Amino acid sequence: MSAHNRGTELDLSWISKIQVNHPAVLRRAEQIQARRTVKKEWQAAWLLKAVTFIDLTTLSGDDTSSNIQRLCYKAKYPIREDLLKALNMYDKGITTAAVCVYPARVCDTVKALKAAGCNIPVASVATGFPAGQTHLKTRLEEIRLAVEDGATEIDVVINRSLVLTGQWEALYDEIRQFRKACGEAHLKTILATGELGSLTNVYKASMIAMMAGSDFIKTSTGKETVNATFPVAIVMLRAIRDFFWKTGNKIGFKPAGGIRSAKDSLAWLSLVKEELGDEWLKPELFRIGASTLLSDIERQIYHHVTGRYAAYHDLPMS
Amino acid sequence: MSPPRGFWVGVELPQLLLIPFPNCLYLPQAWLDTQDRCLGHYVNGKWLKPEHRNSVPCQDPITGENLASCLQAQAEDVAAAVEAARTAFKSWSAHPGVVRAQHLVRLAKVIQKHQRLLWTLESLVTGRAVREVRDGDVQLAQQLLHYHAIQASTQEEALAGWEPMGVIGLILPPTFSFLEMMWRICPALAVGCTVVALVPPASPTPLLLAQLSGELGPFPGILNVISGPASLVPVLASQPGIQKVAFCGALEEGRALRRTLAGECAELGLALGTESLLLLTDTADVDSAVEGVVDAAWSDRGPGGLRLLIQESVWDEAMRRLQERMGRLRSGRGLDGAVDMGARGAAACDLVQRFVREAQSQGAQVFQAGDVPSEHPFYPPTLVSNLPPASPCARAEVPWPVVVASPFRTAKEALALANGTPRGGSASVWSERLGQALELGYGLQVGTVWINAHGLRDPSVPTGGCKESGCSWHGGPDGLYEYLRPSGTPARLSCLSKNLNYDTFGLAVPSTLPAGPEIGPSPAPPYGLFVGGRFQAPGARSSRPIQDSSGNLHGYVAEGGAKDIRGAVEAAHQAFPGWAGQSPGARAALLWALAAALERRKSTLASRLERQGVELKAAEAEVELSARRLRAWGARAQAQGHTLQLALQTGREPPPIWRVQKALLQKFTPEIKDGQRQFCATSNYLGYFGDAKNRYQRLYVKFLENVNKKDYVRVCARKPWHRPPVPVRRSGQAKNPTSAGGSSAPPPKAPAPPPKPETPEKTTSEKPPEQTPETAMPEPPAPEKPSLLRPVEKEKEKEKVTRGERPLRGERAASGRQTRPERSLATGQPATSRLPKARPTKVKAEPPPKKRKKWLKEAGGNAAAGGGPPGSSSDSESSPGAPSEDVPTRKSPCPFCLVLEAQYGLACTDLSTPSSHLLHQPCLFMI
Repeated sequence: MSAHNRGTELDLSWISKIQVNHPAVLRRAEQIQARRTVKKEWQAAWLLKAVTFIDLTTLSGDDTSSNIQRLCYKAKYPIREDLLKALNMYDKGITTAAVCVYPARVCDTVKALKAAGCNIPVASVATGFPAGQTHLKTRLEEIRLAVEDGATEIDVVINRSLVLTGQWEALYDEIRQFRKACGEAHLKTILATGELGSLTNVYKASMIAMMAGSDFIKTSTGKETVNATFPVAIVMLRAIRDFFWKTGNKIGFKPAGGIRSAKDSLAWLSLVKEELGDEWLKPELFRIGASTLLSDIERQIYHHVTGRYAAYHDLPMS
Repeated sequence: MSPPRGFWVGVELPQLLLIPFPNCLYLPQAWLDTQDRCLGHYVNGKWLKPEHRNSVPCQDPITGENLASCLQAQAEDVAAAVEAARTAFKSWSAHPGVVRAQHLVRLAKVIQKHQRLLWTLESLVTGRAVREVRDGDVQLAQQLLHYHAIQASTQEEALAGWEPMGVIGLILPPTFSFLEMMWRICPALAVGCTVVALVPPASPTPLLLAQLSGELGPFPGILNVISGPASLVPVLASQPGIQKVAFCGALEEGRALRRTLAGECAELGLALGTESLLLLTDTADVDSAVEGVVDAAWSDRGPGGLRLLIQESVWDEAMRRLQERMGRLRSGRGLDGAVDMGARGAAACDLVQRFVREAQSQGAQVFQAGDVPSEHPFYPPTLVSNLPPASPCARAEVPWPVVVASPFRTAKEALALANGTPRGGSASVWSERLGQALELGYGLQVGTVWINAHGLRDPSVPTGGCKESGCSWHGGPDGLYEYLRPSGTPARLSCLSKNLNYDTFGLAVPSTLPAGPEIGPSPAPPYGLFVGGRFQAPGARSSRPIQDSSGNLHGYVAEGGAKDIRGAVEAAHQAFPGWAGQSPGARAALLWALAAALERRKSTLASRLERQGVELKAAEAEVELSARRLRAWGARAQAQGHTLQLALQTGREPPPIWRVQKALLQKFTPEIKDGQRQFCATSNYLGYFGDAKNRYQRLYVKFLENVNKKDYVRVCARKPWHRPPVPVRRSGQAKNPTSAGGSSAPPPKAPAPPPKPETPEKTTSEKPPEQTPETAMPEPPAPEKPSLLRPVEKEKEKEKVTRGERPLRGERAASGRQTRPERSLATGQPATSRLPKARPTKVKAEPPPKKRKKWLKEAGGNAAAGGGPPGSSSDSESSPGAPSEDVPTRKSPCPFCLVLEAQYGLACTDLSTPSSHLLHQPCLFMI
């Protein structure tokens, strides 16, 4: 993992003049899906690359240690062994980028991963996920407990009401405190873009989150009605680039929610490649939060190798 | 199994590698094989491959591989093609519009079926990125056909008084030949013209299109394509029967063609040059504007280069982002699915190399980037800056893919820089402030302006050029008039004087001697030329005798020369701003006053005409017709000055109609009511709006006429769509041909007469044939159908309503709406909340945004199922005495609704009341 983002002083002039033209961004988002088509071996390579960006996630009320264990195994062995062998990629150590769970399941996850014998980072959501509508004190405590349990990445949700009412200083201070509570763990800030109202707000919230010291900015919780969409991503990526130009810090990007098909994941990769460049295409700077995406990628690779489409029962569950 | 190529995990992902050449090459090659790799001409539904013709190789522009050989046409081939088109014109123009519409729709379907062949062939021979052709050109071609099919099906009513010109000669450029051809043949074919297209050799796509059209069956000769060199252009233009030549290509060629055609009978429509302009202000979303630059110049969407004007305060930021973006562009073979730019052949490459080298030598900085193959025909995206404004390169047309960037300080300076060029094609303005964007948009002297977008095309929005970029319009209603003329106008005759020398014309001093005493009417007419509002003595200070029909001396007129012509043109130029700045009402009043003056002198004028050999009756009719035309156009000026026309288009979603209404109200009124904004649209304008909060996406605005500087935008519900109130058809009652222009009522507030010069001979006989449901075209469903299928019960319900009984709510909703008085769409209270009351009971209120899509569909479904509410034509038929001017008839639905129906499958449910109609077509801003 790269070094932490130390953040900067709050500088509201960075966000005061920003203009985002909604239809123009929508057009760009439409284009980007059609502009880069990869096929055959190239597609397989991109799909394997996409696997290494996945934060394999389970965030449901009925999570128990047994399905966490299954998930961890899947994170360690995301693609069926024989398929990787056929691709001659067996010894490259392909795993997902992290496993993402609720705070209460962090202990189980750490244990299961240890049992599987790997050091995949454990990410935990925190701060009153998904709504963020609890007291600041409990939210901070939640982060501390998750870190104590062994989570090395914390996905926090921001307080949307601060964005909608334009209280940027308060938002900055809050994320600052999250940052402090995280200690050595990485801070991923979920902006919940589906609830921010406009793309201009998305840009501003992204900038504030980065100034306050987030290591990643993440589109959404996966629990809103509108999740990761391309227009929002374009705005966030442009904010990341602007922040990089201003400070020299590279901040990561994590779309989450609603990314289900292998084709989608390729579009996300090409989007990041187009807007930020190849240096962002590594697990330290790009993640995809998903739960069912992996099985579709595996099916596509199965098809690439065998020429047939797999039934879901042909592939191991996650 | 080969390992995945491209990267290994843990290793950096390299640049996207070129995809192995896909096998879609097979399709165009198979088609070329059907022609034995030898392409002739497609005339009258057959391939024409005459013997003993030179052939030119058709090459892959990138590899130089020979794909086929193309026969060069000669004069007799051109004559054969024109003859075929003339024969076809007789039957094609005689058919009702519905039949032509059906044919166009069938052609669209054929294109849909063979689209893969079309796009691979086009991409293969032009070298353009296949993605642009596939997602842009071919889709647009189908939209164009559908749009014009709709226009054709309503031609009898909407364009009554106009008739097709005849055979159209079409001259196409080598790149973009397919799309340029579609923009021109669709309106021409729709109104009943037939086409002979001359394409440069080695452009097989138009030939393929002609083949697809010819194989459709009954009308083989309507579209004929011959390929030949540029030297054939005058031959084609001077063929007897060619009524109009539409030229698209380079400036110099267009100029030469204009000179060749002077005095010939064919009209000329020009679309010249390729350059476009982008204005980037400091309030813009710079990243999106950079995407606009990519769309304009560094993709295969636009044909030419770009002049980029950047406000000084954002210059550094914009340049940095541009350069960053350029680095990510990828160029390669057109058929590769992951390229942004292809290559356009050796000639284009040489041209741009020369331009960049010259610019460099004149002191410009050149920045090039991108992932571009180093072989010859590829040229990297290029950004030229710091070009001295006076250098020759700054004046020259910018070639593809070059962007010439220069800074400006204020909006005023931006306009001066932007307008300081002889070209006036298209431009885009990038600003998040609507007022500023509009102001800049109006100030630009170009044909097409986009706001916060670049290069959007829509069949219903006319585009064109001004200044040196040409004088023709494509698409929309304006595009149709390019191929129409007022009914009864005699065909143009050639008036070429063979011994006229342009170089000495008007310069030599005429040697005229007195030929006898003047026997003209007394008092003697004033001597001189009428220039700038008064009589002036001609420069030659000499006279010319003129004779009457019997050869006697009629009188002397002033002998003009070249200098007098210059003076007259100058006077017209000086008068233009004042005249254009007049309010539409004032202009209308002046035209009406002129008409009245003509009428007062009717007998004098008629007797003068008589002396020149016209029969008295014909002379009187001529004077009368002149006065009536003046009135008609005056009223039209007034009516259209009040019309702000919007066409709305979105992607796949049904258009959010209410949002547009509300958003526009909110948008326009505060911006304009503060008294800062003054609008003076001197040219057609269309724009693109959007902002973050309102979800409407693509919105074109067009001012048809100059608008009054002093008034503010306000909304008026009274005027229907720009269509004039077509006289409502009444059974068994012939229209009185003289009723329209005979009276001398003052023009203001009068409903607009038809936008056409009327001819008394035609009006009585111009009854369109009754459309029956069987002949109505199946797709897209014509909105007339519901009203024609109108059940008798509805009529009865209607009568109930007029008697004052209150029908059930549902019935009232379905049938009683036209009895409501029209309402104005007040600014504070958008009519969205009212409309649901008039809807069927199922729909209670305007649904929240999420459900709106479904709700709109439902509304469409209801109309389809219930046959729609009875149109207002039923109203007028059941009660002929009722006033009907303000009620748009079912027979003339607004084009907007038609587009809705064709493109989104939304039926227009209520055209019956003005206010509900208003909600469908947001055209009614009175300015």
